[in-house]
Amino acid sequence: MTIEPFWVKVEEPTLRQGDYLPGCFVPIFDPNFNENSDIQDVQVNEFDLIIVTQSCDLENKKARLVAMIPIYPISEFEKINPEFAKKGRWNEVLKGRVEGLHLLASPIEPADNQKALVVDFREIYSLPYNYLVKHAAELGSHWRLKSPYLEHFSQTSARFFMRVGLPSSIPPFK
Amino acid sequence: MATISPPRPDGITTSSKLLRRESKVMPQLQSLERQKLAEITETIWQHLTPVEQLLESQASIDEISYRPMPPKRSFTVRVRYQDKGRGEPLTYSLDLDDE
Repeated sequence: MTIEPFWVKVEEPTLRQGDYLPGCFVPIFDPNFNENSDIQDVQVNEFDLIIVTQSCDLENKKARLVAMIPIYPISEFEKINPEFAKKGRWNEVLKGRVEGLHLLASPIEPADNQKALVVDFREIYSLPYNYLVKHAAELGSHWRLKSPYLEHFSQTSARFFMRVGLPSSIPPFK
Repeated sequence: MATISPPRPDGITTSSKLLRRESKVMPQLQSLERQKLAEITETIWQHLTPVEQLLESQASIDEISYRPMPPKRSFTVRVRYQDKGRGEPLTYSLDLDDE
């Protein structure tokens, strides 16, 4: 089965929506972090992240901080969430029926669904633009999501954040 | 005797008037009417089974949740805090909005 590539490799330290940047450092401040002590310990977590900030804001340098979403190989996701290894579960994600999750084909082997990547919109990080440009330069090259997979990813992000929970609803039709 | 009672997704209990699956054992001992009834109920049964499976899968989809993934790596760094006062606004050109 031939699958059109979802990604294109870019070899320049530019940032666009849909850029896949592995190995980003995310500082997590301790609840006791304050301005009363000049030297403090800060936990740093490493994630593979994909940019969700709009490309026009990045190009025009309107974003001081860049919104990033964690992205994982589905094999790693299944280790923490073994119920997703059950038959048919990823198909539900593929159809957009599991809120918060979005599937993207592997950059290397798009036809192999076992090597697909899953994006988790429930966690979003903002990292400094200049840090990410430097990180992209250090990577040498990185993957960039192609159209229309980029717009589909962006739409899923929007749908997740525009959800509205109602206190009650019209009873279902029987 | 087996009964058809697909679960209702809204949690409402179904009526006690359930469709009963007629036995097809030794049809030669059954009346013609009973054999016909068995055929009809079997056809209905075959049609309702996928619906029941669909309702069950829909119920399980509604319950799908997941645990957040841990980071690839976690470590602690010692940082020096320095108060620089109020920050500066971004200096992008407002003219870009008109292009």
